Amino acid sequence: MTGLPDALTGEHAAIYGYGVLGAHLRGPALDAARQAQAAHRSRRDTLFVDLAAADEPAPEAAPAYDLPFSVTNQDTAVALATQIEERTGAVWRTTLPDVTGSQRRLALDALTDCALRAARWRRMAGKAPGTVALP
Amino acid sequence: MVYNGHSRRTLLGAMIGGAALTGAAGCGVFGDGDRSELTSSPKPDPLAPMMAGTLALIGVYTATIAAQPTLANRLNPLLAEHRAHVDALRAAAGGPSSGPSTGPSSVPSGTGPSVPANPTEALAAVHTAEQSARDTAVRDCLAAQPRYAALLGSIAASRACHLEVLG
Repeated sequence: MTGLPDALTGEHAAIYGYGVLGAHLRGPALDAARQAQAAHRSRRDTLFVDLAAADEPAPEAAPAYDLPFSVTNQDTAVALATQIEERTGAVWRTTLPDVTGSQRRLALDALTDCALRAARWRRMAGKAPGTVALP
Repeated sequence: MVYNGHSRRTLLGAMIGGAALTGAAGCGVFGDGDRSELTSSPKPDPLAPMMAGTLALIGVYTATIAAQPTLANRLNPLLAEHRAHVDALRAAAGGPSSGPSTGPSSVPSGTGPSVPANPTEALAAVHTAEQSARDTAVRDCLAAQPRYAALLGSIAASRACHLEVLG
């Protein structure tokens, strides 16, 4: 079960971060942020269930998290969203060697979704194609 | 637990912040796996099929770009990432000697994949090849030894991102 608590910790932070940055977005970007936050909540809930089933402690969310930079407008909001996906994806990637079976599938799906969203945010910032070699 | 000795807030803040992650986490939570394990040189090389498939995919891209120059701007960035996968696979497998000799440009003309004459169909063929390669990477990641799971997962995720770009 090593790794899944870390993934849950990452999802908590991602959910918080989207809550902050969403206030600075409009239109399609806001829709994308809402969908992303919902996806992270879904992964969080799955992790709660998996950790409980394994009788493992589940890290709780903190009331607030320090942000790497001030989010003051759409550009900084998109930059934070990109960083959230990169960092959360990196945590899931680190989880992959520690798990097998359905939990590796969970980790791979989560890594892939983070990579897809990171690329979309980069494209939204004008960087096409927005992909990286090893997300 | 990785957050022993740290407040969760501090650790999570560091995660979002990106800076000093190693120092904050202390135990490689934010690293990319046990790279030290990747330096061993298992025989036979379990990454050989992925390497061969990646080279074949590179062959599809290079043949398509050669036959359909109007697609070059779209395909070249993705091709570069596939080449980076070859480098990463070779490094993981233990060095330059362990993979088949590469050389996307060395694919002899006439024996490479055929490219549709219509650019739209040519792009669709690249999409199909990428989809197949992505499915293979997913399967390989799920079945992989721990030491290769992160790299294969990244390659699978990369190919998924390519599919979105290819439309």
